[in-house]
Amino acid sequence: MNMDDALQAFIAESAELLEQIETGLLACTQGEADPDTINLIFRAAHTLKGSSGLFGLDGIVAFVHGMETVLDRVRQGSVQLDSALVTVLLSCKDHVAVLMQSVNAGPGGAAFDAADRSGAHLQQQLRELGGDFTSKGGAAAATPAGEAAAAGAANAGAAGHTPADHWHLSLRFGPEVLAAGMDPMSFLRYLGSFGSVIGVMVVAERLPEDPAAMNPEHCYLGFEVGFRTSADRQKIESAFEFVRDDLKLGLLQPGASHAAYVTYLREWWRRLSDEGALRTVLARCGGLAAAEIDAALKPPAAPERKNAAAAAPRGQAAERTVRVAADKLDHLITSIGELITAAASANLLARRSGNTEFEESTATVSALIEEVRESALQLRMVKIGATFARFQRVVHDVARELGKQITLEVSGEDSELDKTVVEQIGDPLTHLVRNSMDHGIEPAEARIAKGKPAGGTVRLNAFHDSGSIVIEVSDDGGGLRKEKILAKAVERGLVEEGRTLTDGEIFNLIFEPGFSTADKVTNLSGRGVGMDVVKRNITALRGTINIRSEADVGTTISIRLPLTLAIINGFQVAIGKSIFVLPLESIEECVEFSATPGHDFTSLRGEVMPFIQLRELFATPEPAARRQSIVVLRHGGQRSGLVVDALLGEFQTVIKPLGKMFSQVDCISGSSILGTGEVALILDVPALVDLAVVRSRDALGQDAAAA
Amino acid sequence: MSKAITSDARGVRVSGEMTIFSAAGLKEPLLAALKPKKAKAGGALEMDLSNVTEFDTAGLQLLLLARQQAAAAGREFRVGAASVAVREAFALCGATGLLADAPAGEIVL
Repeated sequence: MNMDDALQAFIAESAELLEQIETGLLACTQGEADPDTINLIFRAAHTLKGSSGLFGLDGIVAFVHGMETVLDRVRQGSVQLDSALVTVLLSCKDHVAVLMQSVNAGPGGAAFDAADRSGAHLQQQLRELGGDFTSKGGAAAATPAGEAAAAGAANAGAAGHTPADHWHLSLRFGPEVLAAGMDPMSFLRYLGSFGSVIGVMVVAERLPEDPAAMNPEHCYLGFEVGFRTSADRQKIESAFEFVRDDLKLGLLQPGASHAAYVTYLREWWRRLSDEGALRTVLARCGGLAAAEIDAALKPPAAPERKNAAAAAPRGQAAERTVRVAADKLDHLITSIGELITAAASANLLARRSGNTEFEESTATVSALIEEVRESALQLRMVKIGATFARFQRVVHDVARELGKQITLEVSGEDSELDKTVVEQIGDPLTHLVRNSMDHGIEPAEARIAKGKPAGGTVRLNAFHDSGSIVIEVSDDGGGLRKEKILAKAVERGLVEEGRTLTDGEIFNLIFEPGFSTADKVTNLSGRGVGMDVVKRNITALRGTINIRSEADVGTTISIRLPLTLAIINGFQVAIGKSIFVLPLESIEECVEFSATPGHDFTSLRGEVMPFIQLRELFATPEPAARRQSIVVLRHGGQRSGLVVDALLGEFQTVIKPLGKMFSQVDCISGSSILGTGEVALILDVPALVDLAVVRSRDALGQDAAAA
Repeated sequence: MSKAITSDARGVRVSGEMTIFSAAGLKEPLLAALKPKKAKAGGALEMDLSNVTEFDTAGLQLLLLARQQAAAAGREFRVGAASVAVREAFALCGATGLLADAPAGEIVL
């Protein structure tokens, strides 16, 4: 690793540390200022300072030192962490982020100096709120990098974590190992070939107490090993490949907290009551000092932390990950897309050739490609939690600006979706959250008058539902005012006067360009730009947006998005010679077509189901096939049928976007290239289902009118 | 070839291999040599492993068994002398605490 790579790694790490600081600070504002969280913030700042020192970034060292000093005082209880201090510390965190960016552009540049100067103001504020630290803070610019580096190194211990390259291995050999001609000691010797063994403990607790019962040719021993290596888990596991069936292998990852270390060891040792044994293992294999062992062995008196956000960074630290540039992943997925198309064409040739062996081998290749595709897409899946966590800050800042008391509740953070989707969902979500806070949540007096708690709540929730992810932004505010929206729509000529609309139709009006019912325009929202942009962004992601609202109870906006934008499991259907693709997840079943002529609905096991004739929809000239089928589609709780000529089966489908010219075409969401080189259109299921439902309702209305 | 295990009042001396190949033959004589009647009951039991040519996990296991028996009889157990092969194996698996000349605090569980 050269210095440049190291610097990049440092910048990435510092971004995480800054995020930890922010999350922690925000948790503190929600009455969670427990010592653990404050320690977490302090340690993050401390590590940041230490690492900055390593790179000679004295400006950052000096600035973070100020933050650290104040945080240390908070930790000791001599300074109160009130909301004013939190706000200043948050600004400081932002300032450090700016400094980091300028480092990225090249340290010592003009931008760096400018940013550095603007930090002086923040330092002043910190000093006012957090007590004077000029004696050290002002002079800290001259803090020798060496001292900071030492602080960074010491930090690993202070934080109660094992070093980042320290594994703990628990080996319990099966009785037959010796007889099989293998010496457990030789594995310890082999470990030394790709790392260094810090310490080993023999575990003889399985040795029979009765010497008569001891078979000298059975293995009763095990080892606890502290192992330092840059190799990954797989490499370590492969060292024991020869005894895989005869070995119980336990691995504790590097960077585990001391408490996790103890918990792990207790699970592995039967004699867990024997604290002496545990101490010896911790000292020898873990390299822990006596005081650290005392701390780690203390009964876990700390209460279960309520705030998941604050606990998250610690969990993430234990996860072993590899950083990969996003465009490398994108490139991989593009290549896999091409591979799928190429494989489909090979499959087709194989089938035409009539050579069974050839067919079998292409079938194997296809199955493998499918696996590769799955895992490649999985690589790009990220939890939405990180996106949600950012909103704590947004809500905190906006609530201050509006002078409202608003808390954010987050759930479903573990739902995963494609990174490209996550990246593009941030802006629309921000807009929706701001909107909810500004227009949704009423002022405190109005809330109290309605008998609601003075503080409002905005909720973010995510969950998976039939191949899509649903993200909900809800508030417990006043709800959308239907009359007002309708009146405004009539005034703007969007709706004819006197027409009755359903609630859903009325709510959808707010997505019309330039539509705003806000009485007053604020800095944040209500200028009538936004909701239409939100809708456009969501639609561009092949998603849909839906509003539920009840007066005085609140509003929920649900965004439904596909999990990935690149490749889907498709189901091909045909009308005459044209082939169309439907996303497999949206298909419930396929049934034989039967309907009373002239009707647009059929009976599916006694239930009425509307359907659409794909032939009519696309005005395909060829005559209908003798036997047609209905594909039953489901979307958002509604079902409808699609009448097609032939069902061709399941195929992996690489989605190619349609040209701009076709972006206005309804019911089509993309295209794909088939193995034959022909183009198949991907049908837009939400649009089709909506169309079928609307048509059948209109038809029913006409029937009723006629009757 | 001389006997693999000999014992006197001071302790037990093992010669030759202490490996999986000899373990089956070593166990009984070793346990017999530990019997209190051979030495003064309650005294320390000192193992002389300076003539051990090869030492593996099976050997270590026998040694730990012997230690366990000594402890059951209330006797202290230590390895007074050890060959290079034994020392190397002890170092490898963190069992140097068995050696009589090990610094205090080196425990083997």
